[in-house]
Amino acid sequence: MALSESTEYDKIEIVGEYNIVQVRKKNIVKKDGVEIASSFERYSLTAASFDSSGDLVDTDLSAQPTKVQAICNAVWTDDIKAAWKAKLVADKSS
Amino acid sequence: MSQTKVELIKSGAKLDNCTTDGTTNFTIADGNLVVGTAGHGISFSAASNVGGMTSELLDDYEHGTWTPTSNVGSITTYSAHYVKIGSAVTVQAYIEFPSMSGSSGVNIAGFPFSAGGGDDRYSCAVSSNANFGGFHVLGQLSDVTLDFRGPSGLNEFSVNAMSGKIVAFSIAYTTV
Repeated sequence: MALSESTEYDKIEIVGEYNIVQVRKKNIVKKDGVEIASSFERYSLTAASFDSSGDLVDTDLSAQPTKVQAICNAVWTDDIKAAWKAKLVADKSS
Repeated sequence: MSQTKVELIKSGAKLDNCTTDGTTNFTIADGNLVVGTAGHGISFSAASNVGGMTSELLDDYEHGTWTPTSNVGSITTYSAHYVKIGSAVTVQAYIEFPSMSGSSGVNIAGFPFSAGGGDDRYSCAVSSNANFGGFHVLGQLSDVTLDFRGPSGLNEFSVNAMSGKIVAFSIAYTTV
């Protein structure tokens, strides 16, 4: 009997007008190559955010898997980034 | 109630764990009902509607954990779970902020599903081990970011105020 664990990024979704990227990781346990258990872990990414000093900064993707980086870089155009940052600034005072 | 067997054939072999009483119920004795294509599910269109109804299709279910992030940097997550039923999402988190200083606002980001922006906003009470003078911290969710706000609802709670604090919240919202 051989048990193994693996992780797959099985869903990467782009939602909304600001191209928010929703990522789902599937953590899988296999016994002799057959999946016997799994769990999901999710997070989301936006093009930019306020840092702890209150400055707007682009999202650092360096810790993301290559597939997620590629999608974020493709959908976060300059126009999207500018629109998202403008929205964050507007939200801050509303 | 007697059950009538429904014959399902796969590769010439009969599957014998599905039954129906012939008029109302369908039973799978052991196994799951699998929706093979995203966007499909269970239609409740036979039920009456209220004004503003936009869908009667239950097309998603999922639960798991999520990874909260914050504009203040690294935070400690003790637990963070979500459940999604159709377009309804319930998210929970129990986290701790590090010792920190600053006057800018504090937020939690990385929510598992976007709530949408614009006027699609949701709020919740955030409880904490902090002494906030007798009022609750307000959490306001827009898109995938929960801002911490004061009692006026306008001013964000500052980095100084949240330094070293443990907070817990649960919020229900709908996806875009």
